[in-house]
Amino acid sequence: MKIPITEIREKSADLGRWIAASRGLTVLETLIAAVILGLVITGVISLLASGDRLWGRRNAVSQALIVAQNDVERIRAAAMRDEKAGDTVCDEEINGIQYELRRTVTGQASDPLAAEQSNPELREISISVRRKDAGAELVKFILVQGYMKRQQ
Amino acid sequence: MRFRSDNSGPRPRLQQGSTLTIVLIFSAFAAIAVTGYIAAQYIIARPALMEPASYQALLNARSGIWKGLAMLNDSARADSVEQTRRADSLLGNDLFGDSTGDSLRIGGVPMILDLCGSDQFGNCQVEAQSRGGSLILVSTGIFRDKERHVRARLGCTPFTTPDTVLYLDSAAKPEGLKIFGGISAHLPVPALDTTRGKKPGKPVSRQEKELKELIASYESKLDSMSDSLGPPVSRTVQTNADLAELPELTEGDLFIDGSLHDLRLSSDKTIRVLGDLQVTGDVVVEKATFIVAGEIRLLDRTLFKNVSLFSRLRIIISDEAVFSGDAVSLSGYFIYRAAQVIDKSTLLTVRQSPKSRKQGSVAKSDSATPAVSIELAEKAKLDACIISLKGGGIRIGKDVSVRGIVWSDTNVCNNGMIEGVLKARTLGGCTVEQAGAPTPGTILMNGTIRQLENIDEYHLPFFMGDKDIVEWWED
Repeated sequence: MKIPITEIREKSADLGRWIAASRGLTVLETLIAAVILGLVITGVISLLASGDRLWGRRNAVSQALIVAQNDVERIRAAAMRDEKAGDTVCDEEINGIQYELRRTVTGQASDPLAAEQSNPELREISISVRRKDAGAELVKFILVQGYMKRQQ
Repeated sequence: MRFRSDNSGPRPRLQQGSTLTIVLIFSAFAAIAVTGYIAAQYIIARPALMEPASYQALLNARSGIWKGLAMLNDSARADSVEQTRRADSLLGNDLFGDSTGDSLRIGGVPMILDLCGSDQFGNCQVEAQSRGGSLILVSTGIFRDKERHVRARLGCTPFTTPDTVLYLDSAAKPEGLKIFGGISAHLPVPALDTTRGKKPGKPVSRQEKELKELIASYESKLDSMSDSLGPPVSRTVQTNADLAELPELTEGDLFIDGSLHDLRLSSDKTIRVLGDLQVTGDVVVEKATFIVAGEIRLLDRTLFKNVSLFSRLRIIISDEAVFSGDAVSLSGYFIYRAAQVIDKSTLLTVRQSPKSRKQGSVAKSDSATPAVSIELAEKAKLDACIISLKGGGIRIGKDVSVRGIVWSDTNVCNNGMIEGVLKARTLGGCTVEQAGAPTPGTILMNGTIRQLENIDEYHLPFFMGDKDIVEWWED
């Protein structure tokens, strides 16, 4: 099959026009693109990091809460057996992380005599939990526990 | 630098690309994806991060219960001191302050209590509500925007040893008494309060005061409405739809008739009836409170579960009706046929003199006050704490079985079987011959009493001694 030479010339001309129209990148465009990409990547990384921190904080608070809840339930169970909770500092480990629990017991308000005579006898208890390897308290709670006076 | 050619012409549009556009598009996608990720992390983490606040609110609510309980017990103690003050003229009136000014009152407004010195850890609102012969302490713990609720039912543990089945306010041992595996204790006359925390000879005005408060809280709910009403209109409920829409107040009698359809109501609403309440057929009611000016009759196969009842007149439970919960009657109880009271319920009756009843109330007054306030007859079965105060006795029929506490400050006639503890001033009175003063050699009890292993699970109403927590609910 023969192709007329005019047709070949027209197709060659089209190809030439196409090549001519394909513009290259300017240095400015490339620089702007690189800056934007850099900003976006930095933002993404910092957001991911804060997401991870949030997740880590959530886990730490959840586990500290479990430690505190365990202690509150221990206090309640002991109260049922007429055993009063005292001050204590103890360590608990959850998922390989050490937590320090600090419990402080005080008498009711400023009148210990009134607290003593009251039935139930009231004790104000403060419980705080922190990670052993980090200083800040993760959770802190205050409660009033009553101790019924049972007549023998 | 650009490649230019004279042969250049228009290029295809799709190939007019730019790195910047692509970068912007991908950046936007990345930003959206990461924001979404962070938002998801936050949404997942937020409940866990807020959980300590919610837990502190719960601790506040629990603390409120203990503080409220201490206030109630302390105010009762202060009343005793107040009584001592009145009794002893040497003590000046200003020695003791007004102890009742800020105390927690039954049916009163909720009190806001600080947990510690400041409200840094939030506070709690405590309210005392009457429910039958029980007192419910409702505590709402508040911390930041979190609220938690704790409720506690208060009662009073009877001071009794497990092997003592009878406390009798007389020196003479009753003859004919069949006690299996238990012993009897004779209390010196006059009657003493054998509840925990009470010493012999201690005045009982504290009971009186709290009992009056309890009854007044019910009476006020009836009186506040009866003042502004027209002629009484009775209401009959025969469908579940009607039962669900039962108004809070019925001005006349209320008949709940489950003979055509099985009726069921599970609601904690309070229904006030200024006439009588009669329930017949197959009716199941759970958790509701009925405050009734007239008589309450539970008949047929009625099942009242965890229900609170108050009646100015008598409460009748008959046929195969089953009741569990707390009930207070100002006239008495009649429980007969195959009726049952289950689940360690409390039946309390307090006789009121006709003078003390409100004049003009819809309630019908008894023409004559019978000697018996609580009549248990035929094949009735009760797992309950049955208390008759202020005059009326308790009569237990031959085929009746009672498990729990039978408590009367006058007479008990027991022809049936009691498992638990019986406290009375006198025994007998079952026949006309016995009605007078007991004579030596008279058989005062034809029935039996056995000890109950779990007697400590039964509780007297809260006003009969130092209040204790009987049940505890947390939301």
